[in-house]
Amino acid sequence: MIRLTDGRVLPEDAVVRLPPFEVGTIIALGLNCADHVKELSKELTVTTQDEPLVFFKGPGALIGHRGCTRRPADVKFMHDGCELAVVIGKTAARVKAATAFEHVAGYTVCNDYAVRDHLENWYRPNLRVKNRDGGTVLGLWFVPAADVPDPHKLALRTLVNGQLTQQGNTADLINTIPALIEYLSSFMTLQAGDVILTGTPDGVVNVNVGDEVVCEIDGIGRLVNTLISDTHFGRRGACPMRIHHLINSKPVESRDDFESVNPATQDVLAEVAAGGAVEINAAVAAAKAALSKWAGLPATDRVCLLRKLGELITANVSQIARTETQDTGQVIGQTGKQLVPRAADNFT
Amino acid sequence: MTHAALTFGLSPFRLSGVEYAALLNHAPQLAALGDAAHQPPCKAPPQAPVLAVKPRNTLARDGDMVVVPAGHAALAMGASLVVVIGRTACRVPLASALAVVAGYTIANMLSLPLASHYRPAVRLMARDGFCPLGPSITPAAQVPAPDALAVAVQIDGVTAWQDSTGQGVRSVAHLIADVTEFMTLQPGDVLLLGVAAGAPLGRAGQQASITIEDLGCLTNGLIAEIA
Repeated sequence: MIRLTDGRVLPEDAVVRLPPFEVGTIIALGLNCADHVKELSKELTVTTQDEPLVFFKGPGALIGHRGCTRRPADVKFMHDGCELAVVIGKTAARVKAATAFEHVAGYTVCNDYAVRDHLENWYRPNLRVKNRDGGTVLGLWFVPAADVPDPHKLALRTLVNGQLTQQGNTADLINTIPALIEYLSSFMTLQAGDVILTGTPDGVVNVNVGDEVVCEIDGIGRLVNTLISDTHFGRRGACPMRIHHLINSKPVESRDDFESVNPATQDVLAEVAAGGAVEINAAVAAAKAALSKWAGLPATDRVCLLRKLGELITANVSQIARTETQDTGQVIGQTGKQLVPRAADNFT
Repeated sequence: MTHAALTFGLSPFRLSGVEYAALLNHAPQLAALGDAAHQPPCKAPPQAPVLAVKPRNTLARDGDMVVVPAGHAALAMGASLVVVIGRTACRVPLASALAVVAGYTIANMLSLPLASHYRPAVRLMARDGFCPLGPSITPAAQVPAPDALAVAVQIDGVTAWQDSTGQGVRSVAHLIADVTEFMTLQPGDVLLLGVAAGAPLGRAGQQASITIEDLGCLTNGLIAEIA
């Protein structure tokens, strides 16, 4: 439960958390953790540079704690990234490292997603990778600098569905917080509310629809985000097939979806409506209502209908077998010669 | 020299301060890169729009002075059409993209000379005051053909460069459609169409004026940094 400042006490899921301060310029660092650079070294055309790799983000990328981020169906590699966010509290122009901490108001946690399928080598990392709507999660709260004795000694980690996927320590930052403030303020005036995302460590992994991603920094906070599908954003058609329930001869959608993935190609084969209690109860009620009519039919009529079902399967073996192979990875000979004909046999 | 809240009149022309700029949105410039676009580090020509964020410290107005950093002789004067968004724009279809535009103005996307297109190069492009906008916003209804406007840069009153807004890899509508596929633009946000190749240089002590047909003239003086 959460107590709001006006006194209302509400369940966690009854509130929408925004980023915990009014965010100005969002300054992000790439390749700023020693181990992440090592992890990416195979695909990098340059090694760690003398000059920090800085890029900016716009405000549309931001969402808060317990927000949901869209995981596009048509990409293969979207990854999270846990990082320490440094919030500027006082205008900083040409500040030296020695006095840089005077300009830090505090800290929060950031989970900065990237869609690597869209990576292009022009002004990299390009915005289509790093500046997507809702792709930068910030929160859960703001921790004043006075409560963080040493921001370069913070363990951080990411858990995807409870499994540890990423861990690091802010001690491994290649450019420290004072060095970053000195560098940035040498050419751009930093203002209160500007935030520096200091870079993510080793261990970024692909995340999928339905995953719960938790980014933790000791002494700062635990930031939760959930990946949701294109369907929630009215984006249909990116995926070749959409399967809904059929209850009482009517198509029925669900609150949640899952994806069926072709194991050979990792492509999303279909988005499938995931049934819950509501759909099960509706299906049971529809079946109960239909039972007396079905039971009242003469046996010969019932046999005809069941046989018709078998005949329809037989007439469409090749198509059904191909779909089954894409769904399960079984060889086409097995699905086409054994599995699907066997299904038809059940009714004939 | 920075203005946290630039206001050019009343809504819908009140700017949010959020600025995105297209880079390399100039077909002749990409063509001139030729085979180099296929070589490392870039390896292949860009597919999606190439974009930069212009953070709030870069914002400046018509008439503001821009500082040429110590140790640098000159800055590139990057004339760009500015599209002011009037309505929340998310996944805007190409055919109706111009309907989200409130109006147009002019930007000077100043930059120190770039050696490469590989990294964001924010130290060269995102310095204080490096993106003046103005002088005022012309309502979209008065600009029926934003992709066919004459653009000129004058340095100390002498025309140094001329072009048109029509040579982009993406037109105004195309850019809005492609950008809003993955990022939503809000009323008052601005999208810069981008700079054509061959931007002229301006030195400290000079004055740069950018004129875009029907939109007026944006003038900024250049001064040397006091070390």
